[in-house]
Amino acid sequence: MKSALPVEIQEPISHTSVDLDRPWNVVVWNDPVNLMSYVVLIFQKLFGYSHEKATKLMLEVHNDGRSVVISGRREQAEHYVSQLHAHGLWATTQRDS
Amino acid sequence: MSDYRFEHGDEPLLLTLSTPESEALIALARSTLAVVDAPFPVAGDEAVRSRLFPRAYLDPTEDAAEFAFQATVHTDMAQVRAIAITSFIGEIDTGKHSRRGVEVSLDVDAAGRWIGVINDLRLVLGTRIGVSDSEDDPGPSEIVGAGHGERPFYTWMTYLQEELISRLMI
Repeated sequence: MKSALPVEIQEPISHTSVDLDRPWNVVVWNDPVNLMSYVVLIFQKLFGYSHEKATKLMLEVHNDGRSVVISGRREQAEHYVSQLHAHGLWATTQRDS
Repeated sequence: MSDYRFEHGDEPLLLTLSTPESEALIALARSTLAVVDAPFPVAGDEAVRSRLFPRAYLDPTEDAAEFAFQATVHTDMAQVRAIAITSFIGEIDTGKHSRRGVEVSLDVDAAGRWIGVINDLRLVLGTRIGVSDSEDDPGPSEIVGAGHGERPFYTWMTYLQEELISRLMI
């Protein structure tokens, strides 16, 4: 009985399933009006962060121009963006890279 | 239950505003209300409206999602802002008026609301006068309140907001 030669099969690469797994980041951007103390207060209020964590994220916004403050499903990210907008912060959402 | 509590206990804050300060706050609050209530951007205030209601998506390939986001949130956001600003104006109007000005009593909820409204007023005026990050922080002796021009009034509101924030805890 002859044995079959091994055949290499290439699995198709699916980008769709990888994309769906990537969370949506909420990015807060620096702006010249919002006070540092106000930004810390709002991060604590909206996300329940400790004062230390809220301050760390605020300093990232202040020093680096932006910070990813929370991540989640798209709907959650949009909800947080709308809450940040309602408090006067400049925020956007983008899929995690 | 409030999101906040006072650092000093339960007694309300007593805030005294001079007549020029209270009049300037009310005038800017009414101007902000006009921007918030307008169904479309008012000519000359497009940047202000964009700052109060910014985009959620910077990626132009997400323009459909952006449109859906604005359609979903804008009306409610505008309404909540309008209610807060209207309350703010009312609280100044109904404060205790004297020759010194007006004394306003703020419980913890009102103080939290004033912080948000004053932030909106600062966003509006800051956008209109082109406030930038490169500006030096003026010293306390330069806080001259209202009636001396837009920039000093913006600086005075900054210190007022900072003072209110310092009194609150989460």
